[in-house]
Amino acid sequence: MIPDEQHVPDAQLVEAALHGDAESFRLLFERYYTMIHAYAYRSCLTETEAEEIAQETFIRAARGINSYRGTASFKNWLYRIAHNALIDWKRQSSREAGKRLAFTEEIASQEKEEPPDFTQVHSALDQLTPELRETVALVYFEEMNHGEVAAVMGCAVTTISWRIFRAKNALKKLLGSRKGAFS
Amino acid sequence: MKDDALRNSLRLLRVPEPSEAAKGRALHRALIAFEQRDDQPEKPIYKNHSWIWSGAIAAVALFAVLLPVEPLRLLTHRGDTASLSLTVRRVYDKRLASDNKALLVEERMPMGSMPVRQQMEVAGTRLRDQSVSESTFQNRTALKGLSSIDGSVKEGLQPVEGDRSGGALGGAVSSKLVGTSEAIPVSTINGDQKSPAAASSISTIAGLSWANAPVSTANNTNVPVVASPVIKLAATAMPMADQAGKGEISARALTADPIGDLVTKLSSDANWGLWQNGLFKPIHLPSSALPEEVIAQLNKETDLYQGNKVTSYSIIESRPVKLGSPFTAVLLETNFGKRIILLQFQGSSTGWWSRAYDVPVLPGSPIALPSTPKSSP
Repeated sequence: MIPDEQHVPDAQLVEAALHGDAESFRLLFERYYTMIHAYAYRSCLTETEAEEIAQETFIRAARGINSYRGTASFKNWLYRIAHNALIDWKRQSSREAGKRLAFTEEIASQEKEEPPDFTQVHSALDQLTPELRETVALVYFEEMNHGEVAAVMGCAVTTISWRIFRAKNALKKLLGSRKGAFS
Repeated sequence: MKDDALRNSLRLLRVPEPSEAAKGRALHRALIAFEQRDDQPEKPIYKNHSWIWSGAIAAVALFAVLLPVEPLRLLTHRGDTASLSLTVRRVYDKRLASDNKALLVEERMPMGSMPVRQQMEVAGTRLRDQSVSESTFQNRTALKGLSSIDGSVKEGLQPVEGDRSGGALGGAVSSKLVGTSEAIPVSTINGDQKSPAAASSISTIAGLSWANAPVSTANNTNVPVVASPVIKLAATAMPMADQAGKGEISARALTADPIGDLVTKLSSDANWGLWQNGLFKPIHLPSSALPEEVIAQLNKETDLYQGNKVTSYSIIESRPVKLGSPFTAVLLETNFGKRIILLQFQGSSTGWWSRAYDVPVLPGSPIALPSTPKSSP
């Protein structure tokens, strides 16, 4: 038994999971599921898809936990898996159309209870490319630095910086034109 | 700041809380996957060194299967005269087995289109850059054995234009040693009678690959020969050498129509496409020149009879023949013996092409060695 599960470091839980301790893996799941789900949601902007991506992320993590080398933090390793799951999701073009429809319905259902700014931000993010949106999600929401994002997304740091630069310009234009906040 | 304002605006995007059902479902499936996790992480295939060895072995096996052995052997022993001799001998065996119908190039040349030239390079002669006729090849084959035996004829031979062999080696050697035949009985090589045992030892001493060549007999004469393929050729194409040896000239039994027989022989060899190749001395006379004039000029500029200067001759017969293209065949009686000269006008820039050939003889008749010239008429 683990006495204080809230304070057990990731490395210890991972070590136990590597030895087959399912309870340790469950604790890791509880610790990171919400984070991964949020990341997936900010990247795909669809709740149902975010749930699927989060689920797929943890299934892949469970299957391949023995391949975790400890060179990166467990959190970043999970982000990396989530990123790959997002890529697979993006490849499914058929889902793209469904996502648009679901997004429309979702926005319509949320408009009543969410402030207007939510829809504007949602719409602005939705107009970004998936790569830019995912980069924004990691940098602005997950508070990762560019190096960590580059490790998660498997590209160069300069690429991340360039994406952020483009995303900021696009978002400022999209959000500023509506609200005038950036002018 | 603008970036802070952007960050604050983005945080307006609230993430909906994941439903407990979805979370529970995800946890359940993740735990199932955890139970079915990979015990050992899969090592990437490129990190597994066993595939390198497997690939290398497969490549070597494929190389050995797809490529014939011949080029490999030639590559390995290209400069080895012993290997060269073996190659030549096998080539002749193949030729004989296929009734002389197969192309020489196809038989020997898995390495490409220039096998003969490659072997000529090995021989280190002046024939390096020219095509080689069949007779040259055969005579050179004989030379390789002979030159090592008597040690006198090897390199530095001068080309003999118009000789049947069409090249340096064949011309000089055939005139001095071989006569007209590809067969080289040991008894006549040095002008001395050799016993079979001596011949065997000679073939061994030669340092070539004749060591394994059987000391065979030809025409029941107990004349040892240097190499079996050579004697085979002689048995099919030429009569055997005179056992009396010592260069004594014997009477020849000519065929009824020497020119016609030569044309037939060359036509049958036309598949080889090599009989016309080789060095030749162009005779710069107009196309209207008579054969007598061409022969006279040819005799001035070249040695008509196997490297020997013909001092006197007479034209017995001259007539046009067809060998793919028209030629003029001239049968000569020289102070050394009879020769057939083929002539062809090849344009004003080249002049007259010519080549001298042996006169076909009846099977079984002895071969004359031109060591003792006839008295001049």
